[in-house]
Amino acid sequence: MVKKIKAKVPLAADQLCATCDASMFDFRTTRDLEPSEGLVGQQRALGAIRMAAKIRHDDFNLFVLGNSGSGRHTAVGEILGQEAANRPVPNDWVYVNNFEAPHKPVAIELAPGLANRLKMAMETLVDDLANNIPAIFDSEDYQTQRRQIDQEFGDQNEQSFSQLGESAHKRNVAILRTPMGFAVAAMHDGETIKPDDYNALSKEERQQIDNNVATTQKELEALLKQVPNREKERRLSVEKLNARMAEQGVEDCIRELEHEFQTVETVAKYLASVRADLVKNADIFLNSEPAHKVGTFPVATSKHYTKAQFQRYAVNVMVSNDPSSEADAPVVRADMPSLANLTGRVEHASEMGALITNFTMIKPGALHRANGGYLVLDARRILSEPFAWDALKRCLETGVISIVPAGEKLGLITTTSLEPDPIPLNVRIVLIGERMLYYLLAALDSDFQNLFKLQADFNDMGDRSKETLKLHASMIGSIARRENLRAINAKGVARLLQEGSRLVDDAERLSLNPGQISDILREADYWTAEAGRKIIGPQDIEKAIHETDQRASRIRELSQEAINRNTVLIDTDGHECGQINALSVLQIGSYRFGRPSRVTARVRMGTGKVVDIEREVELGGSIHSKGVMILSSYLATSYALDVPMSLWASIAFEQSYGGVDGDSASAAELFVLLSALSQLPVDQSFAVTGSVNQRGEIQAIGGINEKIEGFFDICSARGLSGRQGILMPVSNVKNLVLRSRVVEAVKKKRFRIIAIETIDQGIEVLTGCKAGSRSKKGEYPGNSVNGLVEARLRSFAERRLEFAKSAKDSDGTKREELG
Amino acid sequence: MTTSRRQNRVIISATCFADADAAIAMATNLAQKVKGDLLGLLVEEESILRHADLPFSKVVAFQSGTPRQVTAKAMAAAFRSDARIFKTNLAKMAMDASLNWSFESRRGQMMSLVHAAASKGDLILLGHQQAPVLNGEIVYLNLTGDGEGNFEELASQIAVEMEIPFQVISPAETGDRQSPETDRAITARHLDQVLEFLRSKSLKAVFVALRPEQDLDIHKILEAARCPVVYLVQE
Repeated sequence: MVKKIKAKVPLAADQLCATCDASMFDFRTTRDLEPSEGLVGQQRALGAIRMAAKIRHDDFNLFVLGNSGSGRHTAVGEILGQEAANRPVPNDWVYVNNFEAPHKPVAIELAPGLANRLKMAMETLVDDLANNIPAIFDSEDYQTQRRQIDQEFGDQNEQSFSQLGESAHKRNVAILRTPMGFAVAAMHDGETIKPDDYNALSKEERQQIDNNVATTQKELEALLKQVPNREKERRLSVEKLNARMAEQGVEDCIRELEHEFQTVETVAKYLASVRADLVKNADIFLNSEPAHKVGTFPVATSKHYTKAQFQRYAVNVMVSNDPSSEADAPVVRADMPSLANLTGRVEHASEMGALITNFTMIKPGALHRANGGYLVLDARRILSEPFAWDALKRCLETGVISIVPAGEKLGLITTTSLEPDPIPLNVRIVLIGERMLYYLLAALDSDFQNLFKLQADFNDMGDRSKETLKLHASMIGSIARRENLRAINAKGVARLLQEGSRLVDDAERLSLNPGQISDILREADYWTAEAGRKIIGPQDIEKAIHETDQRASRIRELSQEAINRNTVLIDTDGHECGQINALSVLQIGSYRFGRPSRVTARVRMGTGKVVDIEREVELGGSIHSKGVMILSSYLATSYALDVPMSLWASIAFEQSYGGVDGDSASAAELFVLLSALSQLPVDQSFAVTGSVNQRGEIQAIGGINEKIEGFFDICSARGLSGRQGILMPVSNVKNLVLRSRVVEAVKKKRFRIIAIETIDQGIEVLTGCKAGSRSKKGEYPGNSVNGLVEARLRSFAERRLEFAKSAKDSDGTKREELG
Repeated sequence: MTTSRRQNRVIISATCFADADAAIAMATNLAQKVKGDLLGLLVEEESILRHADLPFSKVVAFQSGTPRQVTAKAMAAAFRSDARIFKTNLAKMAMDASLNWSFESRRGQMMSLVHAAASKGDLILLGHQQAPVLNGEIVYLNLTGDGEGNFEELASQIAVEMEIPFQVISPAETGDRQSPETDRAITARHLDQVLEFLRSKSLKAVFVALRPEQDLDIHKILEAARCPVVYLVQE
């Protein structure tokens, strides 16, 4: 805990850095520590995850918020895994053919482990039938019965033709075979009668011949008309025979299968439809190719079930779970949650230029695999995938997994596809993502709050106490074990924990981001190895931190070089009126560094306007503009209240061309304005940071450590005079976790860091003059800063009044209005 | 027929394409086996044309049994049309089997024209469209009384390839024992019994073994068997 701060008094070295005393630890290296259980300081988030894991309601899905590296994924995996072990293994799901409506595959739910059994049993059934049915139809029994049918039919035809032939012969009529069909011709002396011979006959004889021919012709017509009917009867008889034989064959093969699954009603119903279809389509087994032969003998096993014509009897296993007692409910992590990967897809094959599909081409998605358990998704990834988020919500709302291809949603695919039975969904969804995504979803997606009622918000920082330091030490030991790193000694742990405070810019807090700690530790392990040591010590941690900073510091060095070479003008000694060093932080990627900037102010008589040059040229952000307005308000309400505000002032960040935002320089801007007004010079040895409110109170700002170090490095490069230092808000002292180079300089009194609470305190340090307080008469002391400022403002007001009067006197008209 | 001589041709003869079509495949097979050429002969049967010239003449369609009037002119045109189709199909089958082939269309009496076209050693195949017969057999009608010869072997091979039964019939099996000396002619009684026998069977083809001196109206065999008939020209 940082002790009470005295304003205007330089801070002591021990107030500048949250050192951790290694003597509090009772271990030599982290190898002596027990592994830590779970994450430190995340009770709220972990509690939410546990609740999500256990609660039974469908709409209590979970969103895990937090920064990357906070251990969200690991925590989720561990807690869900523990709970999954207590849950029953979910049932299997399969799709089978719907023989009556093939485009509507039937979903069947089975006990765990039964799906593959059913699949293999059906494959065996097909193989058995592929072998048995041809054998049945090759058997002597079938052949005999078939021959009987054919013979009977043939005999009927033969008999008919034979009888016709005899009748014709008796009537002395011949049946001729001509290109145009049968011709019935009268015979005469063994030949067909000639026209002359016919005409020579008597009328009665011709009549007799005509009658014979006509009668025979009619008999022939009737006989020929009977042939198709007889053929149909023959075919029906053959079909009945085939059905009877097929049924017998199917019965022999399917009986055992039906017995095995008799207790599963849905399977029994399916097998009944299989039986009927097998009998009806037994001929597909006859068309199957014969078994391959190797040498004289056929191959013992032929996988007939793989052939296309038998696909109708396949079992498409969508989900198959381990039925053993050691199996858990599923915890599925979908790393690529596209629409197809999430809800499954129906594949198509190209055949003769058309797209075809069937129930065997339905593929499961993550929702199928996670059904009955948990599905963990990355929020950004699922929101980035087209239609995936909508599909997930739809499945959660309806409680079923429905497969809708993206092309169909876009109206691109109009070919008939499948409408498989939807599978009931019972899953807990865990989304892991950044806070921004959660807040956006909560604000913009009306379904989100209904479906994701739980949030697990991971803290970025936690309390720093003796107890938590020890917990963190255990966590560091666990990280080292998990990452196969060298052990860390107690001092190394202490140094690392100190860095944990620096990561959150708070001496009273520790980072709760194991990822960041792990990064430092792994690099330290590398440097330890490079140095040939076996234990990671504080020097290795320091090295890792330093090297990380060095790798990213090119821009910072260029910036400092520009100052050191006076390309960018920054004074670090002397006094100047209307000029001050402000401090800013630049962030490039994940790297931050501080840099001083010269702020200048110019004043003259005017109409009460304070010009923020950055804002005027649109280089100033809105927060910066707010800061300038606040200090303007302070000026206007603190001085010369009995006269119109007659100031014109301009404030500029010199040599700044990239834009500024934030109000952390508003105190410096006010100081430089007061300097310009009072005409008292400001000590350039100082740099100032802090925002100011309308009451002149100095408020906390961000990036305090980088800002201080940035100015320190400039002063250090030029040679520390002992006068240089920082003016900073008192409320930021608790955030100080400065690097050792700064702490050492302060210890040696080569650098000062002074905390202030008010503008008056700061202006006194900067100008060396008293700020001054109003007397009972309401006047500031004449030689105080405030007194000088007020006097200047009054003089502006008086001069302005004089100017107005003289302008009116000269041409008799009022030239300006006093505001 | 006891000596094996090189067969010259296989002659397919019919009075309509429907009958010829029933025999072309078997004829091609026979030609390949005997390494002979193919000759297609469409006979514009005189008796048919005579009948078509009669005022009451009608024809009945093979499949549908629908009757219609016919004239000689129409019949002649039908013969010409059948000849074209016969020739085309024969050419295709022959070329596919790499066989030499030729085709003729003649008007007259079928058996006379066939014997006039044939030479010694030729196989004659008289075409006949069959009624739907699913389980026919091949019968080798051995009217010579001799033992097994090449012609019988040929018939047997055809039956094996078609996977149908093959039966050898001698006159004694038709119900009457022939005398030890071969008759010069098949007697009417023998012929009637043979024809009766053939009418009672479902046949795919009949191979007829005759001696040169035996006088048999093959056309009657054809009418009784109602299937293609194959015989060898001895002289």
